[in-house]
Amino acid sequence: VIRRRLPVLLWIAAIAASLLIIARVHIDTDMTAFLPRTSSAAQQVLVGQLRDGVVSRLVLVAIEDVPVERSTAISKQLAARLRDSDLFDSIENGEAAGFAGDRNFLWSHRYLLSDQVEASRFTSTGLRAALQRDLADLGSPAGFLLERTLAADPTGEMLHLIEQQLGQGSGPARQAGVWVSADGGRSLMLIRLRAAGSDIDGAQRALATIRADFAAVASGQAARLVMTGPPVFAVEARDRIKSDATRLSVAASVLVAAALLAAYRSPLVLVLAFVPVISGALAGIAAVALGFSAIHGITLGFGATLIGEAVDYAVYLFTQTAPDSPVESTLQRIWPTLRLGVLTSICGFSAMLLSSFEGFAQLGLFTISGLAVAVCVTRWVLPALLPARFAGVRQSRTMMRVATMAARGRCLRPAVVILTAAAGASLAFGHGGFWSGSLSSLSPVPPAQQKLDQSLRQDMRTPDSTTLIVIHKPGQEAALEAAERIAASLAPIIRAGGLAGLDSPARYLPSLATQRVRQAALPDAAALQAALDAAADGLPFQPGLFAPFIADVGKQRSLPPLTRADLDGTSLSLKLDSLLLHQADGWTATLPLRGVTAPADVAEVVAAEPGAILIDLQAESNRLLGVFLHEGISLAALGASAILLLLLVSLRSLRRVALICAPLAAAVIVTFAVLRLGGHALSIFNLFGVLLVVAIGSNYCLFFDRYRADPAGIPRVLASLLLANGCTVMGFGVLALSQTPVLHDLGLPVAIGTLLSLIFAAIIMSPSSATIATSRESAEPPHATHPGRRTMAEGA
Amino acid sequence: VTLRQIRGRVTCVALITILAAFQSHAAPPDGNASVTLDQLMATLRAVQHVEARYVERHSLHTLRTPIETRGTLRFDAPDHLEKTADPGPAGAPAGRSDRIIIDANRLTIDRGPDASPIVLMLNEHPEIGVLVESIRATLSGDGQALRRVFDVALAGSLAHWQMVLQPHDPGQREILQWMRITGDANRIVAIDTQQGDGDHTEMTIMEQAR
Repeated sequence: VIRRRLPVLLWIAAIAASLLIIARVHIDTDMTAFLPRTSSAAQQVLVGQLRDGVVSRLVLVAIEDVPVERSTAISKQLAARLRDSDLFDSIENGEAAGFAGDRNFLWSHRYLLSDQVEASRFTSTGLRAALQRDLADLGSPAGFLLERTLAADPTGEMLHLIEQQLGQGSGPARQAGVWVSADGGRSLMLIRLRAAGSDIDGAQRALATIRADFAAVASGQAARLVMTGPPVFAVEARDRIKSDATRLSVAASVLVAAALLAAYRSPLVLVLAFVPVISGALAGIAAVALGFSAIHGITLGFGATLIGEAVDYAVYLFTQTAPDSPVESTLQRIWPTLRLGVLTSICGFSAMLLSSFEGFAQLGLFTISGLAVAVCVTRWVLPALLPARFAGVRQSRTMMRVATMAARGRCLRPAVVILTAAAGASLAFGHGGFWSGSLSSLSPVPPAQQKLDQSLRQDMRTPDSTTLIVIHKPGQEAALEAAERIAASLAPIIRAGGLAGLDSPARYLPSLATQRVRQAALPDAAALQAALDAAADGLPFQPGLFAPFIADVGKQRSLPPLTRADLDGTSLSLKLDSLLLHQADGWTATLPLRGVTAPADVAEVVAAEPGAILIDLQAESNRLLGVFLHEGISLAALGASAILLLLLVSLRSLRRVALICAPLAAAVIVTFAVLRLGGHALSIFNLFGVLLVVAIGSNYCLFFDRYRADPAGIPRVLASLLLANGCTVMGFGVLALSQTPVLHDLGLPVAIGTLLSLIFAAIIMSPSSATIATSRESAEPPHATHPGRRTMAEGA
Repeated sequence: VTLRQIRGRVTCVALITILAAFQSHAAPPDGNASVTLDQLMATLRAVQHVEARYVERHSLHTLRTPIETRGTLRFDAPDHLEKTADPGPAGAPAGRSDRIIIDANRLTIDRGPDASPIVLMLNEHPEIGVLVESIRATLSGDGQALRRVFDVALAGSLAHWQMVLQPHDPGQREILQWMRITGDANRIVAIDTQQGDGDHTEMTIMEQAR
């Protein structure tokens, strides 16, 4: 009795412990978990910016579906309301207020900000050249631009700054003073949240405020609000994962329960079948909680699949127990196969443990511990829980029929070979890339949302530099000074045409040292007046015209140097914050480059500055993708070899192992071909899905292998496999319906591949129907006129 | 700008307007019949493309002596306008060819290969917009647009006409006081501009080619 009770007591204790652990676990929905852990410094900087940088707090808002006069009016009202809220750092919709603020800031600090300021510019020679150029410009078609500033700014610092900082010819189009898309279909806003990128609750509150204020402003109109940007993605991903996890688990449970109820017609058996599943799921969550700091929402969503997989063990046990035989004897009969099956599954899933995608590693650990616990509960706990009068399933006529049909399927063996060959050929000669070549295929953001984001960014004309220089220094001044040094060294390359241009945080906030040098370059009023008089001699400027210039130079000469706080309230602060990032371990300055045609020269400049690196985002992301793909393929190969080795060691027969592998190989090849139908490139998630096909499908083959020597059991085994596979297809099939690309890409190959594995295993590994017929266990009369029997008998 | 200057300008504008009004009334009713705005606009509307040389004489309030520039004008109906200055005007140190291009609402200032072009949206810069709209609307024969922004005084016959434009809006009058466009049938001969800051520009248009 103690031997019988001990497993149950242990089980109860383990469940209690798991529940205790789970009660404290933090559920994490940060989508970067499904971005890989990165190693290089450059990538870490990028990921850091993605997580904490200003970019991670930017929301792009568009108002559409109404005429442009309406959408711009709504934009103005919405911006006014949002500016009153403390949830936002800045609300920009292009309204002139912001522009005027920027102009005033630039104007009153132009001699500190302009990189043209140097002593020679304010000598009589320098001023003479400037005045002569002014004279030429005054008569030019663009003269009206200069006229307004001529008296105070004859050296043209303001025009230079505007050209550098506000101009670029980019920026969104405007109507009624508000940003609109080029076609006028949308009005646009750029909103910076106060909540940090990692604060999803804060982001959710801010987004809800935007929606509510929009609803209030646009009530009764057909206007539609669309939003995109990292905070939107994060909040939506969390909502989606939450709903996916619940919905998918519920859907899978209901489907599986319905199938089991239909098969066993007993609520008790149904409940018992779920005991290993629930135990496994609890153990899996607890294991992840212990192994990682938090469990990811997607891992929980994957619980749905565990239901499809772990319920198999109970199904094997119940279906393979005849009414007149005790459960223990069934267990003893099937245990070696079950054990080997679990071990192969674990081998397959353990490849995921090594993945550099933290989410995958979690899925691997969750599944491995879940399966191990589920099988142990099936082996030692279920028998104790079964009522003494438990009667197994009666072998039905349907079972026999299915078995005979499977046996007749032997004649389809050539068809499997042909199908596999055709699938292989279509893979080898199919058009389109085999693996998806873009990193966005790994993005947790759904494609529709990615497309909206791209379209809004195009409307905003946000320049997307793909080449950056990133400088990391312990202090803000050191970072700014390094940015200035690099910009100065790049100037000759720009003049030589090797680089079209660059942006730098030092443009918006020069280093203190540089500001002091510029102030020192400005002469005092008397010296400036003398130089100006000499310069203007013989030129037709009105006498006294430049008095405002003398006054402004005098004022800015003695200004206290600019600090970050002086930029508050201008759109320049946004630019500065996106280019200069304060992190725990120092300051990072980013210099986006445009039109790099001499990368080697640029690299040389960057190499000369310690702490600076040159990043080509496109190349980096391609390289990263290559690394993931390589990793995925090696892990899949590793998992497959582990399974192969395990089978060889356990079965000690090359022939049997080959026979087990044949249906699996065929299923994998055909699954790949099905996924590739229509030229769809495969993602790494698909690859992992196919690995799961091997892990699960091998169980089917093992049962067929086990019962080759015992054909009497085949009808029952086949029935149990059909039911088990049905549960697996349902569990993973609902994943294929998920909006989250990871879950979808994993679910689809498993649902297709495991079904194919079963069909192919039945065709390839079934004994002949004659053997089944002669060793039947039930009292049912054979169908004498069964059409297939004679054929099979003749074949035998 | 002193009060006297302003008064002077007002007098000048009034004189031109009265003169124009007088002319239109005094015009004989035959083949030289006084032209209506609709007739003139219809005539100008028929012109799809203009390319011409110009000479411009700027009397700027910042300068003691006027400066003169030359260049090329180009117009394609309905709203593409280009003005290209000849290199090296008015004693400039180096020859530089500047150009402004107006495409509907977008104004691009192209300052040669060494500087990046500046792009402005006219609706965001009403001070430039009013200057551009007067010429654009005239060239494209858009009488409605002219009347919307300006008081239009038209004088003379279709063969020789003169149109004085004055912004309705007092704010815009501080930028453009008045503009006088002189033409022969569908050809614009001269454009005089009096700006609010005292700058006066006389543009003569020659060698028209179509």
